[in-house]
Amino acid sequence: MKKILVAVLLFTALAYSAQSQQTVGIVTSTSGSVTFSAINDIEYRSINLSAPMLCEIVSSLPVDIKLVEGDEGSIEISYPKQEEEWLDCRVMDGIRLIIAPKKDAMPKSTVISPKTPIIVKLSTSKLRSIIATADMDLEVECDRFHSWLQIISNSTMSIVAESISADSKIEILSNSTSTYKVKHWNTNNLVITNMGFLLLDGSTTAKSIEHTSSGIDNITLDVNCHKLDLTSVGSGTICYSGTADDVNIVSMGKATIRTSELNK
Amino acid sequence: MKKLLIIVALLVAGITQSSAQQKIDELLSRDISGNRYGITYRSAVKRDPQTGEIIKRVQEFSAIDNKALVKEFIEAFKAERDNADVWEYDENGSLYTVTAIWTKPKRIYNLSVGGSMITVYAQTIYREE
Repeated sequence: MKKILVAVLLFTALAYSAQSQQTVGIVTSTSGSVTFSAINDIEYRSINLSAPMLCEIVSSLPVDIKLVEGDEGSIEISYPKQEEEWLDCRVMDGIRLIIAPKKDAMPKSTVISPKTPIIVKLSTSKLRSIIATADMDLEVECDRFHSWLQIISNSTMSIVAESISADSKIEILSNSTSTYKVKHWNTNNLVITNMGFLLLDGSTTAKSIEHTSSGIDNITLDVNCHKLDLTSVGSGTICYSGTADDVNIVSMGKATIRTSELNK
Repeated sequence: MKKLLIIVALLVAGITQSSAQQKIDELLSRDISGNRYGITYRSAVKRDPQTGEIIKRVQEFSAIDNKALVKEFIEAFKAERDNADVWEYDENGSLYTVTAIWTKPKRIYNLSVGGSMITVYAQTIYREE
């Protein structure tokens, strides 16, 4: 009798465990162009959009974005199904991906958060502007951008990439907490403006670098440039190494600026 | 014995000279830890277009209201007095200037202290064009 009870208990525990694993992971079923999945017990709905001319992303909700290989302009957006009523996830004017609440429709509480964000996978080679006014995690698997790329962060933003390449210019504007783990910034002109907290660690091929900071910097950048202009009224640590033929630094803040590894 | 002493003396003089120059260079390449009154640093290098080798370097450093830095630079320049090929000093009221020149290799260092402002200029020519 005891053995039977133990066996039943074990069987029940295993069955419950299997069920829990299913709801914690992503379970996907497809109906037409809509896919349902579940993340952390929250049912997600996915929709597919197409915007071959897509060049801007504007997000005011927590979002995870992954830039992947694929058909030009293909977009997959996944969001908690229960929040669908007030979400405005669409392509505007054929060029701008909007991730936002509908006007005056934002509820007082929502499950959408940095832990259960809206998830976007997209494939584009024309991206020229990424604007985040809410938490954004950007992962770049496919490094294809417009020749002039602007990244504006007004909230917590993180970027993970082997490289980000924009032939003409890359402009980074941080008004909040930005963590950019990008190994190589490949461009001709790199412009960094920090009014919040900026962590940036990598190297750049930019021939001209302009760095203005009134925030907190944690920057380590290896350069090979003709001109480096740095104006700092903020704090933190800024380290430039490599070669820079013409260096101009103005420091009126508390930042520690290290250039001893330049032009060695 | 005399020859040995002369050789040793020359060696010591050479080491002392390079150490003194290094002191100013060390101050110029030190981390900039700004104060709210401002530090500016400019550096320009000229390279051999063929090899990329630096043939000339110019540095300019200025700071406002930083007495500790003023003292460090004045001491570093004073230490050059016996080692430089040319060492000129001028004090006129609140303006204090020092110019130190070495000919081999050619280095020109200039220090100006006026009021609460210090400016250091350093030019090094590694190879004549």
